[in-house]
Amino acid sequence: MTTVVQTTNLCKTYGKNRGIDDLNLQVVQGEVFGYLGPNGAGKTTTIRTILDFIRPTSGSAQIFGLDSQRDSLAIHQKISYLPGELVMYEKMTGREMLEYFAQLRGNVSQMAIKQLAERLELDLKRPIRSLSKGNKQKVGLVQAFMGQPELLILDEPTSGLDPLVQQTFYQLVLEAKNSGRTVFLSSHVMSEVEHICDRVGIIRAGKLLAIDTVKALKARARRTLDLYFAQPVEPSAFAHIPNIDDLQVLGNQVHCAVTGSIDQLIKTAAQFELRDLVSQATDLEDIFLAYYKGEVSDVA
Amino acid sequence: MLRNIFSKTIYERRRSLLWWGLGIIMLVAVLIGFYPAMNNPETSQQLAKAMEAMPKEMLAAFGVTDVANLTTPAGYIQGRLFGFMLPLIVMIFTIGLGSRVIAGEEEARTLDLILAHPIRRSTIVWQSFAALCVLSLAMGLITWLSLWLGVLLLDMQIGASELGAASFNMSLMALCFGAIALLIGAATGKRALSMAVATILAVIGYFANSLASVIDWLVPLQKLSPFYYADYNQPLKHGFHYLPFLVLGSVIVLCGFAAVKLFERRDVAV
Repeated sequence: MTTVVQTTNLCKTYGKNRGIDDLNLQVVQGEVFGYLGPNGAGKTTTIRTILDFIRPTSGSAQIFGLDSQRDSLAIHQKISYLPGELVMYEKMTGREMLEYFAQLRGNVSQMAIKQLAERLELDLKRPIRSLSKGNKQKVGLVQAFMGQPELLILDEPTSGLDPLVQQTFYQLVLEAKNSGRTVFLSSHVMSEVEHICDRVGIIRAGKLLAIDTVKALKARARRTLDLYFAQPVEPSAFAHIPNIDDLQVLGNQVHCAVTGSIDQLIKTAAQFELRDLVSQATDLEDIFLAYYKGEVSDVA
Repeated sequence: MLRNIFSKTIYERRRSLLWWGLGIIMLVAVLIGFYPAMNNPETSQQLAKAMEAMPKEMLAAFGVTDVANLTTPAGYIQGRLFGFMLPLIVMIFTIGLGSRVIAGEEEARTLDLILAHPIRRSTIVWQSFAALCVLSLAMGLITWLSLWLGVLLLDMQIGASELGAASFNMSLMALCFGAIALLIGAATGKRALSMAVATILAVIGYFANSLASVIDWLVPLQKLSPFYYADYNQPLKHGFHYLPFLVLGSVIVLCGFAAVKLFERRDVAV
């Protein structure tokens, strides 16, 4: 697999409590990579460093094997970018705006603009200033997808979009992936990342906490379990299991939280007569919150 | 019209150019229109008397350095138009534009989208710079044409080439401050700051030049002022001279190069 984005000990500091710290991440060709973190975690800083808008304090970033600073022109020929805070020329119409960007990019067909606008139900004749936030975002999305770039860098792409348009967006991402393009998207919406991303990196306070497939992250997740036994059980019977916490024993009912594998807990429980077992479904949100609170600290 | 940053900047400023251009035309029309009244011997004598009573420093501050000449066509146009009002209008335009092209876009956050495209930072600066030059010189062209028409209509006996030289020098001088605004905007990304610094430099430059005729110690400093070159060798009387073109042109081009170097080096829109 070809590496598309590679950051090596990437640091960017400005002021205090901002920036990114010793970031190592790798995105390979054809994957949809989700970059997840709360606001202010350093998602946008990472993206803007990769794009050479800001320069790393130390470390480096390679895109398509090219240096983000030295070869930025060659890199920018193969990428598109949707800013998190999208601002466009208010007086221009959507069409003027997109044609301007098409000229700056080169190799954009009018047909691509027209088709994307139709799919997103965007009226290109209206001036930007008269568009709602969601419709402005659509102009930004057309801009990002129209040039058929090899790498799409999308910063909070679905903000302001209604659910129906979000589905169209997921479709566009899937099509890009299926044609071998790479998508790097940042988000603080867990469900969206879970829905469309192959791999996820979780960032908090400038540090990459975990980077793994959605599946693997889920397997490492902390989940709560309630076990109901035929007879009362002793708490000591469960105390030796290393990966459980929040253990509460009430007569014949046991409540606990498990991080990672539930194998040991189940084997222990199987020594008694088990009547019922309730497991809270895990979604990425819980994993994310666990990382966010600092409950999980291992980095893959 | 929206093929690149150069044409986009010009296209975007077309209305602004129209309004400022109309302002110049109206100013020229009104002041040239009053010339016959001033030219009448009785009025001119009264005016000369009134002027003599005024402090020379004050007159100098308003760009009037030669009271006796104020009623000749060249003296009138120099004192009334090129001395203060025309540069003021053109400089508001050039400084406003110079601070807008890079720093304005950066503060508005539209620069991010441009930077993500396959376009060098130096290209962004040079194209913005070129648009600033063209629009500033267009203001000079409007000044020239409206003055020429006025002078022809009133038979004021100043040649098109002399009017052209004065208008060209004035627009170069205004462009100088516009280029300074662009440079500071490109170096810092702060629009208000770049506008303020360029304006302060323009005010200092204006007084350093105009008060030098009455304050001796300003004389050596006068040569640092772009205003000095705008009026160098009295273009309304002697036409084009290479020196203002050379000096002002060099300052403008140097600002462009410095803007490119400083913009390439820094973090954008942090």
